[in-house]
Amino acid sequence: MSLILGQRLATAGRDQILVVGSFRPNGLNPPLDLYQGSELFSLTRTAVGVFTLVFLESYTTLIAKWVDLALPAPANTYAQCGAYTAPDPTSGVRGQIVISTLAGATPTDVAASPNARLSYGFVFRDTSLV
Amino acid sequence: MTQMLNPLATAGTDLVLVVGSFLPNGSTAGAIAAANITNGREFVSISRTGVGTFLITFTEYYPQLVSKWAEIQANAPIDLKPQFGAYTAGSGPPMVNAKIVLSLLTAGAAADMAANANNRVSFGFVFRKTSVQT
Repeated sequence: MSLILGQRLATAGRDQILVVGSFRPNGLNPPLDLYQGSELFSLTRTAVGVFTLVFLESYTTLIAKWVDLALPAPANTYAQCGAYTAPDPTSGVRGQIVISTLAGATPTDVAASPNARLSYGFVFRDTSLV
Repeated sequence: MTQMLNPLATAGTDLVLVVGSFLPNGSTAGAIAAANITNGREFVSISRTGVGTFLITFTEYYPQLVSKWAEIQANAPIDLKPQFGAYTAGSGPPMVNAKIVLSLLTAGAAADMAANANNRVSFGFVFRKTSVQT
């Protein structure tokens, strides 16, 4: 049996925290079925094929990230991260990042489907240690 | 406060997550400046070796690369995707650093990405730390 429950994932580097989640695009409407939404302050569709994720917590450094778009049928449509705004706890500004769903290089809405889901992961550093 | 610092479990033993990112700099050849790499201690170097092609050299030697991903963040939407190429496993002793090629592709052709504060290449690797297999 390969499933060894209780094993912890080590990280190469200190004070790292993984923030993951996913949601279902909903055409030109607000997204649906946000998973692990408690880690986001908000998730908003801001334009055609463009979403803004605002993180609840303020982490010092965004080390790495990924996005992935599952679709009910193969298509040249994928997700891509855009501008990241780092948080500024002194002014209360929360960290946020833009995610676009693109057909080629053109932001495009993705129709709602049980099998259309945008997943993301962010690895932050939780302190100023490097 | 939703921040609960709990360890992340893994299905499988001895796995380690190695993540990082860097700012590409157009056609500038050679090593990416340390200041433009996050979590840079885990990488001996990240170098641009050709058009849209980078070589990532790992600091530590791990017996097995289990899984990996790469991702592009772009200041403006762009038809550019990352793709891993040849992986050279590390070994030791004597220490031989593991390496992997990472390309940025437009319609299958390697292409450079301009320098911009919001143009960033991210990657993650899940290695096995020991020779134990599960």
